[in-house]
Amino acid sequence: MAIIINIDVMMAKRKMQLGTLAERVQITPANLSILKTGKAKAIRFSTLEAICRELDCQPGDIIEYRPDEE
Amino acid sequence: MEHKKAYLRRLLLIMIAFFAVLIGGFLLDIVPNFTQGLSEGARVGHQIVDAYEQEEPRSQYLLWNVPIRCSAPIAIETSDAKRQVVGQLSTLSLSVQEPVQPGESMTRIAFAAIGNSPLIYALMIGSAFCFPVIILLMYFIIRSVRCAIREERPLAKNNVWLLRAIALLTILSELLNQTGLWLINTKAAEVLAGTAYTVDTTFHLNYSTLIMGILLLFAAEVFIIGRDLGEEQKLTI
Repeated sequence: MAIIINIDVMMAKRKMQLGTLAERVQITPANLSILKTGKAKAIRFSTLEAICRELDCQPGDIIEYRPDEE
Repeated sequence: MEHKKAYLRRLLLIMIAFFAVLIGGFLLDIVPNFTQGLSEGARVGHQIVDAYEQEEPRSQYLLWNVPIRCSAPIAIETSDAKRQVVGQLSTLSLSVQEPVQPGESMTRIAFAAIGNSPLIYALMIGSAFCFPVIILLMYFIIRSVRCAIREERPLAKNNVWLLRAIALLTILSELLNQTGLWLINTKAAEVLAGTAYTVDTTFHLNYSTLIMGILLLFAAEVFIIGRDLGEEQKLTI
């Protein structure tokens, strides 16, 4: 998929654990893991807003478009 | 899962209705028909064997429910003299005996007991065989849906294939049955040629059965769309 999720990069920059972020964003660690590994089909604006707030970043910092090499 | 109990209760009701219809149909329809067919088959079989052993091999075959067109009305006398009753023959069930070539195998004669053709025999058996398979597949689907709800798992994808298989078997059984009946009617027309009875040899289809099959195909598509939507919803974070 051409959409890359860089939450792990931002989490590393902010030195934040997955469990901590999940708790602050109020989603389960399992769902945050699905998002982090790029298995999610969609992301709600409310979730995106909460992640950006907690990681103090822009949506573009955690979601990136990289065209498929074909 | 919300409404889990209600879903399970409804599925239980469907399961009970399914088995009630199955048992009712078995006792009131299949058992009498099977018993009658068995005794008729045994009678025909014994006659074939007797003729074969007397070295006068004769084929004996049945042509049942042959639709008759334009037969003359029949006046029926009843106990009430003031009442006039007129009937009309619409179907005939025939039992035909014919000499066969010496040396004809008994197996071939036996498998030609319906419509004088092993093909008709195979079509009728094939059509009848579809129903137990459909019942078995239906049982698997209901059981799988019940398990999925009880264990809060997503509905299994193979249910779609089971539903599609039921739909195709429903359509196939109808086509096999009607082709068999059409061949029986064609044979009856040949047997009754030159008599006062005209056999209707048009190819009929039971459209309600075909529509049911198509509806099941539609239900399978709805099922898979619903499942995919559910999965997508689950993966929306």
